[in-house]
Amino acid sequence: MMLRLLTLPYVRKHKLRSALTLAGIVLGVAVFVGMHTANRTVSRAFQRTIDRIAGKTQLQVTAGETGFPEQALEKVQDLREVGAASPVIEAVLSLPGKGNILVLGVDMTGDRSLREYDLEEDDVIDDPLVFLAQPDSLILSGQFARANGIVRGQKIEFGTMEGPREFTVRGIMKAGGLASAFGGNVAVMDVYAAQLIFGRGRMFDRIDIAAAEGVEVEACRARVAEALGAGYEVEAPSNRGRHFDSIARGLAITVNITSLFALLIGVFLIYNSFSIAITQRRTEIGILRALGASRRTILGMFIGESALAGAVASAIGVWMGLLMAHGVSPFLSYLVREVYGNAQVVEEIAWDWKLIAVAMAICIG
Amino acid sequence: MIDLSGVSKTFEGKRKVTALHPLDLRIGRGEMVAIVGPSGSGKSTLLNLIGGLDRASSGTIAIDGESMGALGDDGLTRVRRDKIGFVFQFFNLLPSLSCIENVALPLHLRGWNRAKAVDRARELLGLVKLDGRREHLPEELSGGERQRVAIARALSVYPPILLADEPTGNLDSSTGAEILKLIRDLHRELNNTVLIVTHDMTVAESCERVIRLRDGRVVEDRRGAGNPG
Repeated sequence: MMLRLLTLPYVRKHKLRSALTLAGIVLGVAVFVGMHTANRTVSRAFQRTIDRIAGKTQLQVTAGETGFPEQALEKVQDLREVGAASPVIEAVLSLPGKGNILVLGVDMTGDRSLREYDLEEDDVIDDPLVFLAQPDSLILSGQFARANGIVRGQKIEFGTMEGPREFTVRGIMKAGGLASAFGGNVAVMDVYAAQLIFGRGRMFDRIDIAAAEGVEVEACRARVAEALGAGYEVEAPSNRGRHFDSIARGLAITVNITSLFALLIGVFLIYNSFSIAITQRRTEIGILRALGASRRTILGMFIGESALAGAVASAIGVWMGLLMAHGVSPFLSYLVREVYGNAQVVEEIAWDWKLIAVAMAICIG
Repeated sequence: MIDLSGVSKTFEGKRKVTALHPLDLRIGRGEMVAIVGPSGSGKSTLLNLIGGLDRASSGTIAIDGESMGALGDDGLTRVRRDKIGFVFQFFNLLPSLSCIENVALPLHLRGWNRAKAVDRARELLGLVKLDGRREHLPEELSGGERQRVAIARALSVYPPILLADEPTGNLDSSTGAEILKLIRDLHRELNNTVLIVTHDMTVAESCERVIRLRDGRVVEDRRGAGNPG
């Protein structure tokens, strides 16, 4: 009752002051929610990409940036605990004016036990030898092909680390699974052709492993690590997400601290504006007391005002923060280049209701 | 009806100031009393103590036999809300509320519903001849009109006691006379107890009783003619 009777007329009379106060709170909450959500969105999107690229892979063998010799694959494949092991080379191709694309070099004869890449026109993988016989063969995601007007059989020149190279598109992947990684900016080629084209010699970047039936993943991991010895890392694909998180952590912490300051500024603005309001409205408080308003009534009115302002402004702030996350996430996603050389495509915003509730609770409280 | 016994008020600070020395006073129901005296004589302090806006340093103040000193904050709030109406020199209307909202405010604080409070406020604004100004904000009114709104607000719950602190002090003489006449007329009509603090002897002489203070002491308490002036 007091809010309708006294607060609304006060707000009507002091529109600019009220609007500035609300704007401060909105901005604080928006920056806090926006930055946290953007960080979370990129991290989630990256994890999803890892899952899509990994397929049924349970363990991955790596050995730093330079890769490792092919013999390691034979050692792994010989182990009883290993059900499937497939070598992988990762490289980035650039199509001038169209952006980058991640190329996954895989063993076309054995990799389908780990990854599914159904083709739109199923005439290449059914006869892998045809594909293998031509090292410039490339399977593109349907999304990338359509976006750039590329059709099966077309020859395209991509930029590589070793200079421009011509590839022939011999298959188009259907949407979903691997083809959806990086928003569809992905291609597959034969791992041995990739060694040749990308100048890797007799090296692999990674071995993807599925444990043999009935074998615990951890037991398999221990056995592979033992067989390979020092210099190799054997870990679950999700650990690669942790690697990304560690790269992104510095920026995330900076962004989160900055956004926390923004939220604190919002809280300070609420406190400050209501302190000023109480000082300026001291006469009003005195009049109300003389007219028979109790301390409780007046305290309730001011708490109600600040809670209402906090609720309305933080609700708008949350909405703006989610919009901000939409805008900021693609920029943050370029961090993924540190790992894959290709920027992450954000498909959906990963909001966190707990975070939103905390931001609103701080401002309302 | 209003009984003061040994009431004093001292303000503690860097220097101790005694605003009122112990005094005894009895004001009967339906009296119209002027409290006069020079600045710093303790007039407003006395009015604030009777109105429950401040607490006495010693002595007891009883309204209708109920001791104010024994009441807690909620009790004093109840007394102010139900028994006392205030009129101030500077009107003290809420600037963001219209005339009718200002007058209805004490009724809302009493828990009246909106329609009933607005009806009563409309009736009171009629009583102070401000029917045409209901929706105006205080800043759109003259000083006299603002004081009329303040009187209407003070009387909105028909309190048995009306306390007026220099009600004509901020008005020109003809408007002041008009306001004084209004207070007198309403006093006669409602038979409430009216205490007016004033510097103005014309105002004082129009009251039935005049209490003169000097240096925090009652130096004169006489029955006047109640001359309407």
